[in-house]
Amino acid sequence: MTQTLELVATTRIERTAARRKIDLRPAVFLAPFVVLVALFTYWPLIQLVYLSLFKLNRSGPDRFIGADNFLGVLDNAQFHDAAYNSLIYIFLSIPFKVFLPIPLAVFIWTMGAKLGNFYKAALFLPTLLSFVVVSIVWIWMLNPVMGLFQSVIGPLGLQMPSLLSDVASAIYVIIGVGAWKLIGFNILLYLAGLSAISRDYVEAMRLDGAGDWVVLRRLIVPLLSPTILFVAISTVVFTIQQVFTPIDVMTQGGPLNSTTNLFYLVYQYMFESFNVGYSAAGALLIFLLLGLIIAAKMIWFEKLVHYS
Amino acid sequence: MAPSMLKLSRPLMLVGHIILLVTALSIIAPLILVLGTSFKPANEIYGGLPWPRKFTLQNYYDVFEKLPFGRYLWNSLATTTLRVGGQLLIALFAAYAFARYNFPGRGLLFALVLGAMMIPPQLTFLPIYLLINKLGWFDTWAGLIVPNLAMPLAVFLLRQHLLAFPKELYDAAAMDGANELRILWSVVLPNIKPVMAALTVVLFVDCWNEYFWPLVITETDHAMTVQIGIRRFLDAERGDDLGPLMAAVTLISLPALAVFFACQRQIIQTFVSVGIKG
Amino acid sequence: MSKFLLSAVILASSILSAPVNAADPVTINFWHYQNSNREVLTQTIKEFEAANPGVKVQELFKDLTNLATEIQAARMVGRAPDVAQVLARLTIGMVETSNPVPLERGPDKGAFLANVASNFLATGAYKGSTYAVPHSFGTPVVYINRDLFRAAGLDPDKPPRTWQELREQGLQIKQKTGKHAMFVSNGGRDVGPQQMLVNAGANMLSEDFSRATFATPDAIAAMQLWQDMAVVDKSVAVFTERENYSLFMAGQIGMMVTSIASFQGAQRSAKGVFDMGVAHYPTWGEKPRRVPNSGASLMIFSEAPQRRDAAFRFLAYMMKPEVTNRWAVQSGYLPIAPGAKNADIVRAYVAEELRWGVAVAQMDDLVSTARWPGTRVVEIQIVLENMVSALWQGKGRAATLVPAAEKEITRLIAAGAN
Repeated sequence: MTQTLELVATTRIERTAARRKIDLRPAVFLAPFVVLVALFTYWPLIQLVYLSLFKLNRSGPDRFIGADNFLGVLDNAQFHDAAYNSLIYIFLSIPFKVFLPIPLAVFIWTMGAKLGNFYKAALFLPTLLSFVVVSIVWIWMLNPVMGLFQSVIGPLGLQMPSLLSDVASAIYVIIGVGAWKLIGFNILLYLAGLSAISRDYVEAMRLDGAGDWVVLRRLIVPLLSPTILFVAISTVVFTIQQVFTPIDVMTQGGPLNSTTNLFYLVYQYMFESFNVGYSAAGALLIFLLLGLIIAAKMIWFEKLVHYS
Repeated sequence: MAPSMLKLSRPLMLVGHIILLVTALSIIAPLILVLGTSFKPANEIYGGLPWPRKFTLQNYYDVFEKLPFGRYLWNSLATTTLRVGGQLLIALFAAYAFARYNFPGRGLLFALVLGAMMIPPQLTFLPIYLLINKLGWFDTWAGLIVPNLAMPLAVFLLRQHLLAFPKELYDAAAMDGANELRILWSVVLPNIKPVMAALTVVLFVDCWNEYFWPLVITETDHAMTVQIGIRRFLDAERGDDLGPLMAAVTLISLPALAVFFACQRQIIQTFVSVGIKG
Repeated sequence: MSKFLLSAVILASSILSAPVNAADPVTINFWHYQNSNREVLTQTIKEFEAANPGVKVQELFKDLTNLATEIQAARMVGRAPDVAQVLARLTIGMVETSNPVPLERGPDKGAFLANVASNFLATGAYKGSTYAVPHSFGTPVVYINRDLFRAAGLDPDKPPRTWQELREQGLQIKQKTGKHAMFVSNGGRDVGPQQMLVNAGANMLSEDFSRATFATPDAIAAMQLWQDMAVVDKSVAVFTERENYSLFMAGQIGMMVTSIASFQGAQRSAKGVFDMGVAHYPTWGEKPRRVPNSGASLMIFSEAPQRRDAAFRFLAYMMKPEVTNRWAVQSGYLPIAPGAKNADIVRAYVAEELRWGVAVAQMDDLVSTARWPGTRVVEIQIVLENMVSALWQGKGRAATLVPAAEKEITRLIAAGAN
């Protein structure tokens, strides 16, 4: 009993001592990053908040108008579609960008060097190309009269539908092209994550008679989970900005607003409408939306990791 | 590459090959179209055939004739290299701080890192413009490089990897009297080579393909990058010049491809091969 | 090392202490988005500089999508371009946000504006002043696949004169060849539909820019004709913009309705693929043709008097008939000078390239593109774009869709007013 008390006491003393002597090392390591982010990301963001509350005139922010810009954005006929589509973009991208690359990376990981390298290189190629060109090439491939797909299914007596001009399908094309562009990127990240898994673990499990599935489920996925979380969060954060280029090149948000999203909307306010106030308000709404999704995701993920 | 550590059953492996092959085909087909089009004369571009009937190098000549392409390439190569180097270093420091130390406000600070990923420059165009003006960085390499040196994405990824790093290793090294930089350099870095390699590729490609930022910053050929250059072949009003565009894209993919091949060897290396067991 | 330092110091001090000489040339910035025509433009600038030793022009290429906003931002920090190309339809937005200089305030009190045809000049007028002069203007025409016309048993030398004829001929192309007869380029969201509405006699906006006014009976009928072509005849290619362009260039669509600005590119792509002709934008019945322009004007933003004077000199030079006529011939845009049709250089080129001549003949039919006021321009454009999409896809008839769009645009104009 006294021993325990003593222990508690010493720990407390140590703790206060540590608190008194502030460790400067993390501050030094963080300084360059923090300074740069503060200056080039958060300072503009703060100004954005400011701009969102004002009406702009010829020389700059002029008149305080409170929530008017936000209300104006919400009143926009396209806002509803853009917000809904943003969620579709984010959630439907997750299976393709987050989950599909996991088995692909595992397959590549278990393969011999030659084949593995071939697949890895092939799957990574789209990442290297300008997204404008990728979008143009996909328009050609999907062309309902003379595209690649039509020339494959045409002889079978089938007719390729015009996927990009159909309200029901256009958004899926853009999600697909976005995923296509990024899949190699994410496979690469998973491979980097897999490389940290020690052979000893696998061998130990093997000795216990574990099959492939068990190794995958019990060892690889849990050890890969930090990378999975990373990929999941970057998918949430980047998807609606990533699809900006294919939207702009392929559909311009149409047909009938079916492919527009919040990022595209904000961009249009900024660059096609002289409407800085709305674009600032819209940007903050995006920030809020993504923040909420990420917070929810982190909580969900923590639970998931806990239970498995 | 490391020897395979997981022996998947034959049928499963077959499934794997099929999926990968289909995915690879879906990737190679469009790429053939890019390459093929780059060798087509203008009147074959919309012809529907993936490769040219009449092979021409004219598009490649056009790229060099219509643009100071060499200058753009130099700007791109130099700024991308400097920027990626800086990004890696700064991100490694920050990630190390997050993973290694327990300090007050760590959670909040990390949330701000995540938050920073959500603010692309398109959304903050006006404030950024005003800021760059104050700094006098329009049309300079500094303007292309410095504002992008802090890469939240990279900090996040490295932190995820460093968290899995056994703490005993730091302590053992610290016990040997190594200072923090020494630990980072000779203990941490060798063990995260794969992710550093992957990150190098990712950052390089990201910067190499960037369009919006250089568009804001650059004004003359003095600082313009290849991505700005290739947009010269796109013209919504008068029709795109797709032949030279595809030629230019083929050319500018090559440096990124080279970086990929240089780094990819590292990416699948394992802890085992470096001799550390977790 | 020290030598280097020394020479650096000397160099720096010599730069800093250089006397400001009145004879030193003023350098003005000129922002534009001309890609393929850049060489022609720089040549003109060189000639201007040779004729005006006191002025240097630094031309900078800017991406069209960001150009207007970049001017707005640059204006705020006092580094606006002295002269810039701005899309004609954005004129009002620029006036409201970026303080362009009224051109009547130039040293010659705007006398140089007489070098521009009055219907063209109207595109830059706002609230009693002229803020912009036309520069790279287009007019819509019908590009024709003459081979497909022949295959359908039509005479390619007798292209449709009216929209009603275009519908008939289109149906024939569809029935005889199985291919799509036509597509209309949206020309950047709302330009395509605007041209159809205005050509049918409607005005997009009221004189005071306060409401949309395009839902006239004739305009509704014009939109209904489009819908009937798409839904009843199924002769319209209702694909995306780029898909349609590729298809036309591959010889798969009979007619392409778009700006003459596309001529040179289309000509290059069609060469050896099909025999391409150009016809006038069809009239609406017997009504006279009225076609809104597409393309960009030039505006002045300089603040310092010295630069402003130089900018005016440059602009006046750029507006000289011999300069604008040559620019038109070399770039394929419309000439803008009064009576340009009869200028030697234009006549010579028309004689050589009759297809381009079709556009020149439409000069007198040009009216100003709709210049939407307020801060909700994109929304307004999307309303029009969506109206046309809904028509093509048969979602409601013109008699309901067109007035609904008019009403919504009027609401957006009011909501976006300052």
